[in-house]
Amino acid sequence: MAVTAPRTNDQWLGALQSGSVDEGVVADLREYLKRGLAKAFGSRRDVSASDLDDFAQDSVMRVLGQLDSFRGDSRFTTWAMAIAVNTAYAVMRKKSWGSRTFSELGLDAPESASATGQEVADPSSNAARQDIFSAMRRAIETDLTPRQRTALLAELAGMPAQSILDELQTTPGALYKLYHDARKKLRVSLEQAGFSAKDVIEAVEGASKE
Amino acid sequence: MMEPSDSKLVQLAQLLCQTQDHEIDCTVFLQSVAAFIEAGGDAAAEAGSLAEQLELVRQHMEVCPPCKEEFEALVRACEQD
Repeated sequence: MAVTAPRTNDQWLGALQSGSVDEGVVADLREYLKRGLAKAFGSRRDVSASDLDDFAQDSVMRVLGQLDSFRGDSRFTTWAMAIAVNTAYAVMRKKSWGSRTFSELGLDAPESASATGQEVADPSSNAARQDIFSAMRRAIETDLTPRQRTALLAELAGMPAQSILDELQTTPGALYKLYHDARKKLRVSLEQAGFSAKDVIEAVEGASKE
Repeated sequence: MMEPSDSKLVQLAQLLCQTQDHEIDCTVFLQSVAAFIEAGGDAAAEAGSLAEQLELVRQHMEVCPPCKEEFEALVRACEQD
């Protein structure tokens, strides 16, 4: 059944909250999310119509489970669509990444001692930039806790958040704190090594143009 | 241990330059991005605590490429037919 007139947030919530779930409204939500996901991902070769169905269904379940967290500072449908996009990406990223683990990436287990300290420098890159990169590598090795280092390197390697969470057996909030604390420490380490934010930006711009 | 390549350090350096002492995490971003989109992605267009929250959403995308990717997909998903 197509949605003919926009529902208000209160109308959506009233129809979806437990104890009074209107299955027709659930179906409307699922179709709405599926249409949006098709616009977001329809051009991707690795997403089929069946995938869109699955994403929409999974998203509806997540939305129903999170109704209490809707703050009302947007349209309900936009908020639900954000959850749908997040749901779809979690599946796609996990599928793309496969079952690769920390050890297959060459990452230390978080409890282990620090790394070998071997540096991998590109001899064709300019000396100033290499000084900064060397300082970053040293700081990663010496100034971060093992869990901060592992989380940061896994993130840089493109490991999906859910895969990192599974390996570290932690929560999303705690994982983000690991990243954030690692970045703040590295920023301080570079400053203490004598590299200003301006130095780093110039080095990065130089590398980006090559 | 895996050593980050120069290209990964470029990526990391860009993130470090955008790092702030106070950031929201991905869970808060997910709960807030809908409001950001409906404000037209312009935190300055709002007032008070909402403007502050939207600025945090904008900053989070500077340091979290996966969330930025999701924002871009959400924009496409919400486009009018």
